[in-house]
Amino acid sequence: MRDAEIVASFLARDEQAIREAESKYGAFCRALARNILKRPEDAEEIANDALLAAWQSIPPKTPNNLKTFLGRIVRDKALTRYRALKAQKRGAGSLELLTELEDCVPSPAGVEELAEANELTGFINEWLDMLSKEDAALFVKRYWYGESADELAKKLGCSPLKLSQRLYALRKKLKAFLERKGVLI
Amino acid sequence: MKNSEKMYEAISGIRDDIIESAEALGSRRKGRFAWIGYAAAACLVLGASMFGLSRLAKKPAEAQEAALPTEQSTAAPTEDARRIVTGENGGLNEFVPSTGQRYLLPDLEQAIRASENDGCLFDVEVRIWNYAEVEAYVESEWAKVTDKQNDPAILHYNEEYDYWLDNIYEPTEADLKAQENGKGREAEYFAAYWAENYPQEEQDAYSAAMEAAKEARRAYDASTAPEALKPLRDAAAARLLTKLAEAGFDIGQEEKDGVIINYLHGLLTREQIEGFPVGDCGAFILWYGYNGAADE
Repeated sequence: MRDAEIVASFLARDEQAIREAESKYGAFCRALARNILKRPEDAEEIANDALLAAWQSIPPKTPNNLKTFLGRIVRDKALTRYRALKAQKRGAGSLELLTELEDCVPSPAGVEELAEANELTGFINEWLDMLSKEDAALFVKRYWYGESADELAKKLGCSPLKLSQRLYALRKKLKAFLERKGVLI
Repeated sequence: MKNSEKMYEAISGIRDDIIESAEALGSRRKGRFAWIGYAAAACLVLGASMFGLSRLAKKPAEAQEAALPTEQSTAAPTEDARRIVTGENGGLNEFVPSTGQRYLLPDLEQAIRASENDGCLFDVEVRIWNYAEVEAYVESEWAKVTDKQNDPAILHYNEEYDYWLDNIYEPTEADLKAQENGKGREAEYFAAYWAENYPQEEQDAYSAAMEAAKEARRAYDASTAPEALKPLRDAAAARLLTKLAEAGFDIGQEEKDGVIINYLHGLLTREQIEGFPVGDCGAFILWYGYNGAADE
């Protein structure tokens, strides 16, 4: 079933929508949760929670793109789970992605404005639009899809070390861009 | 919230098109000897065409996969007759247009821009989503729910709950295990704590507010159920069709299950497709007819 039809089923409150969404995107949701949390035991549950959350939020929401809509819910649930585990000090470790993202946090010296999350997203979109297609895709694959540097290195046919250096350079570029924008988070 | 978490959340909101296009990363990179495969494929195609096997490409199933437009001269042979271009959708659409958005199937977009199709009519289906009026109505109904959910008594309860969770609650090992499995009973424990320790009038105010919020949600579910919205949607569809007819669009409504979507079918010009009015709705425009395996 196509996304549009699954969304229509959600809107029509037809429970078949959840089954169709699970059949089409369940594996994607589990993989995304696994990529981010690195805890396979949580992936199944986060994916199920995401489908339930979709059921509860459509309507009133009507997502343009069901896959990215579910992906955002999974990311959100994964972060919540990470925080809960961290608060309980129960082996959450540190979230690799968050550690890397520290590099992007700007420290502007000029005009400083506390950016709301959606404003910050706007700046990141703007920055991604300025990058080469491959660099933008690399950033998204690592920090949205949570794919590991090793996997990405294989896809691009380079060494993991070279890939890590490239990602580091991208994080620094983003930081510099946000600083130029006077963003404070 | 830590700054890196804020960055993570901001990245979650990256635009759909950027996220989708990242899917292709590395897909064009093949092994060192991938060219051998391409060369072999090229030889095969060349050989096949020499023996006249290219006729195979006209088999319906393969034509559907190719999703290329086909052309038929079905119009009456008069001076005014315009060639009608038809096509097949193949694997398509992962997109639901919001109010104000007009989305064309890429193959159709390519066909309407092709110079050889200048002056042609295109046999298309237009799926109408999200009438502005219906959206506004649903939003106003939802606002009634959030209004009740934001009652001061409920907000107070939630604040107290957060405080209790951070400062008073001491989970046992079993509780922690249950939390990890997503089956934590904190809310239940707090409800008992609340009942024991808070003044009766606060409890009554909370109970009344919660009941009102639940009632508002039930009312919302009833007022925005597909059947309840149908008259509103039908009226909006009728107005759209009148507007299209007045503007010279040769288009009508198809008798399909239009509870959520209205399906229109027509022969439209390039300009009509590109300028299809979406001020009050969202439109997804695709070829009319067979829509690929997913429609079966």
